[in-house]
Order: sequence, then structure tokens, then C-alpha cells
Amino acid sequence: MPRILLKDIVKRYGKVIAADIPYLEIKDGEFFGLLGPSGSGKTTTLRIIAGLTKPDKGRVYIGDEDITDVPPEKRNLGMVFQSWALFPHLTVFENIAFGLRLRKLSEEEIRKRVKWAAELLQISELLDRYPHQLSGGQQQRVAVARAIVLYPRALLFDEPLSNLDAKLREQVRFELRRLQKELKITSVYVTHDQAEAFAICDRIAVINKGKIQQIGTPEEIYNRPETVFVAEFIGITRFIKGRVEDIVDESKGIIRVLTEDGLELYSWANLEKVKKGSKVFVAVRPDFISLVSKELKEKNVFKAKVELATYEGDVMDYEIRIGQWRLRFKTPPMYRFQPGQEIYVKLHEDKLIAIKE
Amino acid sequence: MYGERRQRIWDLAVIGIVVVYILLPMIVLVEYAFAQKWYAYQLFPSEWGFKWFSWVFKHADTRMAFFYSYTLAPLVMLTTLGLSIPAGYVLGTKRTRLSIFTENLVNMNMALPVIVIGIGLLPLYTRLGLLGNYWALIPAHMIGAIPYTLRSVTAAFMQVPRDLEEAARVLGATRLQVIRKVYIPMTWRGILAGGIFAFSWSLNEFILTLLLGAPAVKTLPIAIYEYVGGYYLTPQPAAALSLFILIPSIVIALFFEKYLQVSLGLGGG
Repeated sequence: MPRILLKDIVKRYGKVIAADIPYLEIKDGEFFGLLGPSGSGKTTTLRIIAGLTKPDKGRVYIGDEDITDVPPEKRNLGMVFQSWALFPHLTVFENIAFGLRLRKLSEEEIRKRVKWAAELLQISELLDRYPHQLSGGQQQRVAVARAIVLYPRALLFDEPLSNLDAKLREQVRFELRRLQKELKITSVYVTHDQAEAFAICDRIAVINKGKIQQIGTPEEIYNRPETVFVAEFIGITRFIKGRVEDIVDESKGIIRVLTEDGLELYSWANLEKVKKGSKVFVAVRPDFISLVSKELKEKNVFKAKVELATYEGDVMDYEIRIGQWRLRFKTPPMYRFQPGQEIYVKLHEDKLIAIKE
Repeated sequence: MYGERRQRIWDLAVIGIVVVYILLPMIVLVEYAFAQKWYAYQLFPSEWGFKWFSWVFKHADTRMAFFYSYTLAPLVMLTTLGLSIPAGYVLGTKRTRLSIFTENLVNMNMALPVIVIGIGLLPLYTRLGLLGNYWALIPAHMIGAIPYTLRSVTAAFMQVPRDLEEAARVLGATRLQVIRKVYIPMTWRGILAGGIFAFSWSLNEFILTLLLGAPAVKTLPIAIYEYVGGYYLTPQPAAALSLFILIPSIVIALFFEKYLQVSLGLGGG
């Protein structure tokens, strides 16, 4: 299966830059995620790959072939739309066979391929039905079957799970990933849902305002965000603003940060970008914080005041305040703190991420 | 109990008035068309038959009127569809400001009195020497038919989600194949409805045909009018002829009720 390569892509709508991608390579057989808020340009990027949107500038390659000027029907790609876009006037069988019929395959070959795809997606018993007789989950499967039955060079997904309910969505994530690994089809997956991208994709590009903010594995994106946008977009993130006082540990990348209200904080930072004296945002997420039993004379241990407490069944979700900084913090439900109560917490210095302002 | 009964009588009375009001002209029409003997003191004719039908068919003028009406209507239907399908595709799938402006303009045409259009066309046709020209009646009839046909066709195209076109393209369909395999199967009901609109519009058209076609080209409505509105009053042949406009109209109306609307409801999902 070939790679997909975007080079110097620019697409504008009026003054708005929908996509500005100098270089993006999606590797052979990779499940690649385009993650960003709505209007970030992730769908535009996908549509450029599909050939449904023409870039103002730049080239698109599949393998070594320049497909920039190839119309969508000649690209041999599979695409699953957000609405699934099943043809309402055709049965499930004919929906899946649509592309095969256009390729003028023999009836026997068409039957064989539709059967194969239907079995893979576990929809064999639905072949005679019409789309309006199917549940959302079933429609989604038909849409995937219709895309893979053509043995496409790559699969493109445009938020295919956003119309499913939360429970089903989680289940389908794993199925999609398994399917993609089984078929080894280079795939691009557009979503605004971080958990979905993390569960499904090998690598992810976080996009904002048409520009790629960061590319990496889910772990890299979560643990080592390079920009304030990425840190804020991924997970439940709060920031503590301060100035780098000194570099504490060069090899581990640990720095000491001082805030305006006199808080002293140790944090990890990318020392190539963050220098002594830099103004930084320190990203703090609930899982960077743990509870300590009493006031310890240790670094990064602070007294915090519980501001809000929310019972969520499997966890307690708190908003706590350290000095002027409001943070989010979660505990198992056996700990129950009331608003106004004072607790002691430790912020893990190797997890905190200081990002240059 | 008493109140309920009274209410029921009221309901029936009101509905009865509406039904009689609607049906009365048609009942009279049928009576006149088939009445062979009918004296003034009788409520119903004493002898029924097809006398008036054979009577009207003896007239060469009337036979030509049949020919004109029943050839013009399908021609107007085809030409109106020929223009409305591509236009409806553009108006229905590309909702730009120009599309909406065009749509409003065309809809406004529905409110225009036909006589006004006729008066506008009359000097034009005179100058071009098209008065009394059979073929020139086709574009004249189209002017009245297009708003209805285009509306129906546009609505049909609007109901096709854009995604479907794109999905078909990615699956390997060229633009032409998208029209054949996605748009036509999903819009044919609206297109058919639009065609029937054009057909019945042309069949019923009176004013423009009178102004631009007569006396060289007389369609059925004009022939009918001449039996009652000319120098002599002969309601029986007029009634007999009227049935040839009435019956297609009833068939079309039933067709719409029974078939198109029900099917539109099912096929839309």
C-alpha cells in the first residue's frame, strides 16, 4: 500500500486559510489522524486528498504518482463520509456494489467481492435491506464495506462515528482499527474527538486554523505537546503562567519556574525552545496531580482549596485552587472532599509541560 | 348526546355544501354532453347518448383542435423538461444568491396574470411574423408552464444530499454517471410531476393561444369557447368537447394523489 504525500498545499476560502501544509507524509499502511476543532481545516485536507476540493497551490501524491489533477473518480480511494452518504434508492448490496458496477466487473466477481466485504463488516444478513431500514451503526458498516470493497489505494474517513451514540462509538473504534490493521490499507481519519483519534490512529497531526501544529504518536501528542494550542486542545488542561528561573537538570529537561504570585514550580520543558528567563505556560492535567496525606517539605507539593466537587460515578472531579491558579483534579470516588476543604497535592515535575509563551 | 348529534349534522351539512359546490359544474357538464333529449320541464334528460360527440367530430375545425391540443401538450412537456432539468439541477444543488434570485423571479411569474404575458408577447410575435404559427405556441405555453415544472424539479434536486454526489464520485462515477445513477433515480418522481404540470398547463392554456395562435391554430379550449361564446350558443357540443380536457385532468389529479405523493413520502428517506 502506498504512502500519501502533501507538498506545499494551500487552500483559501476568501481571506480564510483553510489549509496551509508545507509537507505531510502519511506512511505506507499507517492509520493517520487529522485532529482539530471544527473549522480547523482537517476536513479540507482530507477532501484535497480525495480530490473533492482543489488546492490553490501544491501537489498531492499517492506512492510516486502525482494525483493533483486526477479527478476523484480516477483516484481509486475509499471514503467514509460523516453522513455515510448511502444511496437511499439502492439496497445494501447495490450500495456496496456501486463502485464495482462502475468498473464493469462480472456479476460473479461483484457477488464474490460484496460477500467478502459484508462478511468482514458482519452485515451479510442486511444485504437486501434499504438504508432507511438500518440503524446508524449498521449504516456506518455499510459505508465502510462500500469503501473497502474496491480494494482502494487508501481509505479516507471523515468523522464517520460522530453520528453514533457514545457507547457504540467506543466499540466501533476498536473494530475500525482492527480492520485497518488486517487489511493494511493506508488510512486517514478526520476527527475532532481526541479519544477517538488516540484509540484509532498510529500517528496524529493536530491541526488548527489550517496549519499543522504537531505530528506524533498519541503518547507524544499527549505527553509532549509543543504548542500551547496542542496542550490545551488535548485532555483537560489548565495553565500556570511563570518565568524560567533556572535549568535544574539539563539531561532530564527539568526547569524551575516562578510565578508572579510567588509559586515555585518544577517542570519538564523542551530545552531547545525554553531557555532561562523564558516566559512559559506550564500545562497541568488531572493525571499530573496526586494527593498527598499531609504537608510535606518537598518540591511541587502545595496546599490547595477545593472549589467545586462533582461526582461522576467512577471518579470525583474537582476544581482546586493553588494560589491564584485553578486546576482540575480527579480522584477515585472513595475520596470525598467538600468545597472549601483544604487538601495537599503534588504536581509531578516530569509530567508538567512548560511551553514557551 | 343531543349536542353531539347536532354537531354531526352541522359537519355533514358543511361538507355537503363543499362537495356539491365542487361537483355541480361537472354534473351539469356530463348531463349536457350525453343528453340527447331533454325538455325544459324535466330535471334529468329523458334520452342519453353520444350524439354530440359524433356531432363535434364531424367538424374539421374540431378535429384539428384535437390534433393541436394533444400534440402541443406533449411537446410543451418535453421542451419544458428539457429546460427545467438542467436549470433545476443548478438551482437545487448550488444554493447561491443568483440561484435564489432566479427562483424568486420564476416564482413571481406564477403570480403574473397570463393576459399580461400575452399582451407582452403579442407585439413581439407580430413583428417576428409568428402569429398563427403552431410551433411558436410551444415557447408561449412554456412561459406559463416553466414556473410550476421548475419548482417541482428544483425541489427534487434539493432533496438529494450533496454527499451522495461526492460519494459517487469517489466510488468512481464521472459527472455524467452521477446524473444517471444518483440524480435521475432520486429525482424522477419530481421530474415526472413537473412534466405532468407542463402537460396539463398546455392542455388548459387559453389566453395565449387565443391571442397568438387563433384563428389559424385553435386548440380545444378555443374550440369549446367558440361553441358557446361565438355568434351561436350550443352548450351540448361544448360540454362534449370539455370532457376531453376534464378527463385527462381528473386522471392527472388522481395520479398525483394516489401515486406521486405516497411514493415521495416513502422514497425520500
